[in-house]
Amino acid sequence: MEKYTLEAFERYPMVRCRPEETRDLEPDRFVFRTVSAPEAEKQGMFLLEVRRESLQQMAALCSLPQAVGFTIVPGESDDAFLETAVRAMGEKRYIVPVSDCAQIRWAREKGVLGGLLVEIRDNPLDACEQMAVQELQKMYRKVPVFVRNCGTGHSEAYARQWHASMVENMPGTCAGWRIALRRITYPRAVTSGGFAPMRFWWTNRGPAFVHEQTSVRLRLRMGEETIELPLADSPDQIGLGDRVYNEIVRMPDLPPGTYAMEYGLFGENGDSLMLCHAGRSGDGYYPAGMLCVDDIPRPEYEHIWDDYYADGYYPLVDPPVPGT
Amino acid sequence: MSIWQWTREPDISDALLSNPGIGFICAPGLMGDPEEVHDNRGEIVEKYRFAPSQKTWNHPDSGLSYAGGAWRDIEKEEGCYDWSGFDAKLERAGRLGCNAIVRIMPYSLTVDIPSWLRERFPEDPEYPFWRIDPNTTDYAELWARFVRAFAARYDGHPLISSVDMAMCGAWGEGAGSEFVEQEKLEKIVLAYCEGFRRTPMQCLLHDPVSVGLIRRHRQDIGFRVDCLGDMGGFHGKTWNHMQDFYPVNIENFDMHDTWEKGPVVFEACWHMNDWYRAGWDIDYIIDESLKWHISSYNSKQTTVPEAWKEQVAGWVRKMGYRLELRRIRAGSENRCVQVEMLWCNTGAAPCYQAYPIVLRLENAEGTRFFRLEEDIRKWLPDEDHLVRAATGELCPGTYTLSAGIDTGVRELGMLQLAIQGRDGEGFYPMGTVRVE
Repeated sequence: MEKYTLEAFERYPMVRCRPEETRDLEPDRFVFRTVSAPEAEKQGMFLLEVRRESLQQMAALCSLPQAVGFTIVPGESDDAFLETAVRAMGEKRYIVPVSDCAQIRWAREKGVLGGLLVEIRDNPLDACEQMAVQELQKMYRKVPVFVRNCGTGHSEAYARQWHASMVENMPGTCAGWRIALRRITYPRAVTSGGFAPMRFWWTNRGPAFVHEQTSVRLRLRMGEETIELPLADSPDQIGLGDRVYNEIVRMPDLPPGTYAMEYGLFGENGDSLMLCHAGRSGDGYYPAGMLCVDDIPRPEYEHIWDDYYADGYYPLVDPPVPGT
Repeated sequence: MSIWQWTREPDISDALLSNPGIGFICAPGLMGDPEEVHDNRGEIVEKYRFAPSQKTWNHPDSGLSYAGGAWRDIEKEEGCYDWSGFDAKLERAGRLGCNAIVRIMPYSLTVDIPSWLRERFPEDPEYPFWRIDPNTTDYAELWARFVRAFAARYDGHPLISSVDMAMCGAWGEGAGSEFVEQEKLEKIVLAYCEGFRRTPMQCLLHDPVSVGLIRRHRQDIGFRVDCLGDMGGFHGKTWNHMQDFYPVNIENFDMHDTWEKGPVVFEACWHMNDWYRAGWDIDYIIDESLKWHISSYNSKQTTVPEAWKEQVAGWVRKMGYRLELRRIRAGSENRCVQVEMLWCNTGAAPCYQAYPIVLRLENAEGTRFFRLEEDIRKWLPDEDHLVRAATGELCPGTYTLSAGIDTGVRELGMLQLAIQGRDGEGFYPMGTVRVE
């Protein structure tokens, strides 16, 4: 039986690092305000609301990084104006109100639909029906959903149902993403200039996808020196739930020793994303244990993931019942 | 002018529902009126119910059962099949108002392969969870032949919720399937995939070789695992099912989105009461299972610790599908009743059976039923769906309109919806409609 034990199954001595999780570090990160006049206060993130008469003024605000997108108020939506407005707002995301079927249809046809704006008024079921009629139920997988509470009722459950990326006037509502690195697996020792197989398990507990390209970064640190490790297969999009992937990191030539390993998740503009962990460094990295680098050759690590699934061990012996 | 005569928004119910194919596997041993209720260790526990109307003690009611069988009991003589014992198990599930997850196992650690096969291969193989070596015998061919016979008889059976793909290993739970020659394994995979075209299936989430082979042939097969709740009972913090095997391999075996087409089925590691005594985090276990889109949970028919009653009730409300008819409007045009319905699945998984929505129209002259074409299997969690329907032509008059979802199976009846107002026939009366 010994050859079927966990110890025998693990062909290579591996480290399983499970970073401790924290919750809700940024309660305001997924909150937006609708701004319809250029003189509006510009704290926090905001959605530019475009009307025919304010188009030029709103377009002038597009360069502000706090402007997360723009929306065109329903009723302003003849095709010519939509065309003009979308052009004037440049690269900003076009967040289309689901209550305006004509605008949704136009944005889909033109391929410019950059997000959905769901407004909850007296009855949230009106918005549910609008989503259903236009078959927008799965759109959260492609573009962010902005939920604005225009009434006074409780509508948190609907924001979650629609996978809201951002919410307005909904304090305490869970929106956006909550990302944690649940576990990282790597060998206890790797070879300088060789290969370092890594397995990442990420979880997004929030209701929304991350709607920007992301990249994982990994680095080693010893004293004041840091060495970035190149990653080839890090996911460029993060959806809901778990995301597991494997890497074979090509190690640079390094002096033998024990290095602190650190990871981070970065957006397309290079900003680090806040993860649900403690221990964040000033430049957005988190600790992930220690990695020993030596000069012992391990060529087998280059193809380790082809036929070795380190978590696939199947216990053949029932252990004692827990709690006895 | 609008054709609509009214719009209704039924009151949503937070009741625990018992519907086919989902929830806890039912526990007949905890039903009735026992003087005492014992936990899995034989200790007397305080009796309680999840709701006064429930018929099971210390365990939620259910619309799902389990029916298992052993190869040696069915194919006692080579090529001759006696299904009577297995039929009786399905009938028993039906009498409980349940459909059943089914599995015929090739053998277990205590139940041998058929005796006619044992005579040919008297030696047990070296691998501890095998009773016959699939690589050096014709086990794969013979088991595949049996699976084809099984499928020929039971594919589409109205009382079968889904079928476990048992390929090798004790209890058919897949042990050692990564060591089986692919050609051999494929014979068994094909027997299931070609035999069961209508009944949903789930495979063991065992290893990338067998799962990859299955996925090459079918993309609509869910997965089953049998150690939900293990937070460190095997190897402490080093390795466990909840934090290592399941989360990583669901992804690594490319099974993360199979729940959209095939059921995700869990069985307890030990018993829930053992988790409780070990001090494990029930909220974590529940949340993870919901993240993986669980449809049903086999608690091995043992008690739920009363301290966890509320968490488990919340779990049952999310497990599998939970269908709300949120809004309905009705009117008439051209002597047909027109209906628009807004439905939402607030559960964690879709329904994997194509049960039809049925409209019932009643007046003094009689009752008519209209089955709609909508495929409710496409209603994924959190999605609202608008269903538009028109009845056939009706005589002028006033009709009472009711809606429901019919399993079409006498023993299962109509689905329980997450709204108030169910009548004795399982329909939900909505209002009257004038046809002129």
